Amino acid sequence: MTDGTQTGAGELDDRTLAMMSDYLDGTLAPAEREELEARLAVDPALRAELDEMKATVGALKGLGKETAPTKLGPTVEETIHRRSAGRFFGRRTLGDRVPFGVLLIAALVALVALGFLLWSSTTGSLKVERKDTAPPPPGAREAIPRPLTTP
Amino acid sequence: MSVSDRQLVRRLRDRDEQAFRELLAEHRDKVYNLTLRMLGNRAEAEDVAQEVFITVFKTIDSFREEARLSTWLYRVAVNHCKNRIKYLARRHDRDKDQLDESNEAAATSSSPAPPVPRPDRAVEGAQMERVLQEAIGTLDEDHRVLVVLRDVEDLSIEEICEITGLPDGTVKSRLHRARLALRKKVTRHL
Repeated sequence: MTDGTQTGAGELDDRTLAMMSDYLDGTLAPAEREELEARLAVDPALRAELDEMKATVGALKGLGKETAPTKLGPTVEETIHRRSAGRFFGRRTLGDRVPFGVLLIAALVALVALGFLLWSSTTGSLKVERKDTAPPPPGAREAIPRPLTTP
Repeated sequence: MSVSDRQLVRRLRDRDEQAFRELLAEHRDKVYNLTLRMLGNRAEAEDVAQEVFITVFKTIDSFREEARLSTWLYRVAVNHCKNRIKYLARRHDRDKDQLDESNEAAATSSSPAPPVPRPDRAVEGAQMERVLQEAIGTLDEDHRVLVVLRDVEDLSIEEICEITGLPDGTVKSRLHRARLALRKKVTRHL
């Protein structure tokens, strides 16, 4: 291939392909660039190979740049929040903001208080026994305490 | 690494949520684009991009600041993509085995390559993009990484060496083989 004969498609050696890749990237050393350009000038098949590779690389570079879905960020934060048991990115409910231990202690205290109320109630329930406050029957006289008499 | 990157990393290590949001805002499109080109499927790409950022949040303490933050981020993304490609290939094989068992009588083609689009469907614009995306999907993951990083994401060879941990010569030789394989697949559509 380097002896001046023309190149058939599919006959390129690794070195030539590497040179062509570097040539397209603009990273080929000057001496090798000259060598490759000299070969390209006399070898239409090699030129065709380079043009095809150039078109492929150009098409790849022209692939559209996609933007991430808008929900990506919130979803990531939500996942971190969930996997960290609410330590990070907490913002919604009381349960998310207050640590579970504190909630547990508060619930235990409330339970103990409720138990104490039930235990201390004379009726065995939380209902407060009401005194009879019904009005006296009609005609009933109000009991007036009499003064004490001395003998 | 730049001063702003160092500050961002320090804040990330302090689990500063605002810093994490800044990281997301700055890099989410690049990471998503990389995962999309590597996987060729939007749902998978989004899922892997999420995992990339979650991994970064979890493992920022292991970042040694020898490389740029974006390079490290790309490395995490590439590793996740490779793992997902392997997982999907295994799942595909398993599904295929089950299908074969249930259809023993039917003579089906066992070609491992994805279907090549018909020439009449491969025209300009979006369809060309689809042709390219499918061609990328036929490359093995090591070659696919290099083509995506170099020709789609336009990273330098030096950056690619840092991301992949491969020597310069290996990156170049694999890259030109990958381009050659791609060229063969898409030439008739160009």
